[in-house]
Amino acid sequence: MNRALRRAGGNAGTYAIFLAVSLLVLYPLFWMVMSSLKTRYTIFENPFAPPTSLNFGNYARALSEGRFGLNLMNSAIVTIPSVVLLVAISALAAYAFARLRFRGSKGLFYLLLVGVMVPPQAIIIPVFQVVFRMGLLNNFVGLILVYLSWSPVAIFILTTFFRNVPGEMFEAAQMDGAGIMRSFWSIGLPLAKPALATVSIFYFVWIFNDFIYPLVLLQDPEFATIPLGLMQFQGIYRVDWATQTSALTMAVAVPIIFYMFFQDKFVRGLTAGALK
Amino acid sequence: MTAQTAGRVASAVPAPTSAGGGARRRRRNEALVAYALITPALLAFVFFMAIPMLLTLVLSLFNWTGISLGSLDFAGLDNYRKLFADQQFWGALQNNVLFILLGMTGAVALGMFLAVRLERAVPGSSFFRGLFFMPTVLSTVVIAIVFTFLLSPVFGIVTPILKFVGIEFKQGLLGDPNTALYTIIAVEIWRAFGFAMFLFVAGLKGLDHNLIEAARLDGANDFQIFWRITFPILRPVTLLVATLVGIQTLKLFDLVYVMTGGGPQHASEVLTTFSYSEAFNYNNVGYGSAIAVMLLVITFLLTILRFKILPDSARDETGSER
Repeated sequence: MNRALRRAGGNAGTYAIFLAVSLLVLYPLFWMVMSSLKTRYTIFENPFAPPTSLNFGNYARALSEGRFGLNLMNSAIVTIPSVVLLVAISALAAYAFARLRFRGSKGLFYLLLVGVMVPPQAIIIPVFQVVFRMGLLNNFVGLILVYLSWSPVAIFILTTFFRNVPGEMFEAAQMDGAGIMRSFWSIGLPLAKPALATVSIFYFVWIFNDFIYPLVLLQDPEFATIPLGLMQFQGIYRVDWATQTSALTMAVAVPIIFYMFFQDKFVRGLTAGALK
Repeated sequence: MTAQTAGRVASAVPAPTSAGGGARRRRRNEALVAYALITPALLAFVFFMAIPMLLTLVLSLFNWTGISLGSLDFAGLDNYRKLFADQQFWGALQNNVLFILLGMTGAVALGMFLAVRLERAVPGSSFFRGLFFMPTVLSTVVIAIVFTFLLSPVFGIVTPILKFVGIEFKQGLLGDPNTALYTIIAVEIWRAFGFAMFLFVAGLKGLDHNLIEAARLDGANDFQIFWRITFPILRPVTLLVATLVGIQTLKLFDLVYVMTGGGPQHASEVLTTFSYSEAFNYNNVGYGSAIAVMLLVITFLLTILRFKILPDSARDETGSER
């Protein structure tokens, strides 16, 4: 009796803490959505007040004047090929490291592992120079090529994965006359699907939200991705919070919707990516 | 899916293998295929990561505006001499250290606290767990802009709240050199605690509930249970999370760049923003590179530390994830 009561009390305390933290997490986002529905002027009256009427015109303005549509398209053009190619080249390399014997295997693997440690922010100056000298500044191809150098994280995760697949499965296929590529394609890849999904989500979040590389490599506003566009928009429309919060709301909607549907995969992807 | 593939393979009739010199040819073939498979990843890595890393080192030895290759001017260690005498560098480094220590402590403490609470599995705890992780998924630029609005001295919500409890900042928390850095650190904790929490949740899987129940029957209070039972289990994870969050915080650029640009009066400058503005705003490519080299050195030291403390934890964790 006493214990049950104490547990109930403990639960109430736990809920109080959870609700307080939830409020801290959600209020900034709630405020953003609320502000996006106010008029350009009422937004400055009482920051806590709910909107008096729903002004979806802000969203239309964010899409047209704010060029949010253009930014979204640019983000898609950069993110989708980058993630697909990254996962593809990483899976190929990981398969070689895990299942094939060749000279220099260990050395090359450790060389790539160094890449896991390098912070992209610390090499941005020469990356700019390399891309600039290649004539790929303000070109999506340049940025995508740079993102392809982020493969070490995926190679590490996928190599561990391929190593843990029982060797008999591949041997059986080889007995069957399947070549290396056939057994990669028909056995390795299907088995690796969950790991590939994890890695894809990790890269999707990383690249979709990346700021410093587009900032340096896509200086023409015509090519701005979402984070960059939001930043430039803030500079231009410093006083138009209603339009800006509309753009911000649309910008977070994409990852949040994905997150709601694939929560477990997101968590696994982001933690695995960080742990390497 | 897996069973299906296995079944298909097992039922296949083994083909006769070719005898003799075929084995050597196969081995050579295997190596060739392996090199071909690695080449795309390796090329991108070499051109856009390995070479830039070396170039950072090389460029730090030159004075250069970054435009004409002909104007490269070898300066030896001049940039480093200048760097070590530069007040702004030491200021940025100090801010980085503060950032790492406070950000790490905040995210680790809050993450651990919530993970332990979540461990009780009250109804709805998986919902809260998912909610707390959400900021990790969001773009740091969006977070930075939203918080800049909230913190705006005139129209934001933070100023009236602070005024209500009797504190007044005329330029707002971000406009005041005394508070700008700490405010950004708080936002970083807001962004990162859910990530730390999840690693602790994973670390708590080995917790023995019978042990806790028994301790409770013996009259142990919550604090004793945490200190004697839960925390020892979490100690290795704590070190791991702390170094991971520390490395992450060291790399932080977006929040500072968007919220204050390193200001006011460099009060919130960190190495990443310092290096960026030297190279891209003032065209001091060599000097900016020297700062970046410092960043690389610190990252490597932290990474070595992380593997020294916990040589195998990373492998175990990712292994058990799947």
